[in-house]
Amino acid sequence: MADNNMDFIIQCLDASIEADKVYELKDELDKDYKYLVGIAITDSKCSDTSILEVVKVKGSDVLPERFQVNHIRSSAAVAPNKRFFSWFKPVPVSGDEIVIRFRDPDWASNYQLQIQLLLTNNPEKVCDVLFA
Amino acid sequence: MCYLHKIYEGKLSHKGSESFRFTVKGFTRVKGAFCSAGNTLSLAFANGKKVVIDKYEAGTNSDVPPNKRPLLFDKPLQMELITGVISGIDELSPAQNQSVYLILE
Repeated sequence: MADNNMDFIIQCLDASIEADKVYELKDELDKDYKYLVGIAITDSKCSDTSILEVVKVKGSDVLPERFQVNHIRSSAAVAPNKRFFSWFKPVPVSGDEIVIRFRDPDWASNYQLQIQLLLTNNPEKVCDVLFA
Repeated sequence: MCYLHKIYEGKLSHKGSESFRFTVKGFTRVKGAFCSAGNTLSLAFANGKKVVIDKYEAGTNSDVPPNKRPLLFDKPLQMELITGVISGIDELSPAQNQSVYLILE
């Protein structure tokens, strides 16, 4: 049952970045969870100028367009439950598709990009932990 | 619940510094602000009369949790004009856009 107070899941989107071009990452979000409350990139080798050109669910922006990856990227020194960026209104989801367009204008060599999405059924409880 | 609003995006072509204006409508409070790393940010509320941030330096420390990086404050809002200045402190790429965001409630 996905209905406990602190119930959450981290869904990952992966891509192999092999050039300076726009990569579109798409996935259906877990239908057992009702809200998207956080987004994270940990210890990526992407350059400081990397951009999330679009992060959309059901056609609505989760983050403003052309959002700099630096705002959501953290190092492995950050505790795992503190690596999420959550300064946006929890996005109602239920098996909806998320679309993320990523670009690294200063790409220099191949790397693996992983974008982590935090889903929950109880955004207030989870956000209390994220912001503590 | 918080909303993230981009209130400025552009290249800092005017000697590495740009001023901007933004009118806030439909929100009751501002909870914080942040901008692209490598810049200083100044913001004034109440139609430019009340300076809330003066040359706040935005860093790039990825060892700090992302939710802790914005400069947080709590200020009631009516429909008002916000003015600001963003200035580059590092050697920024002239082709790269710089942005300023408000966290609104």
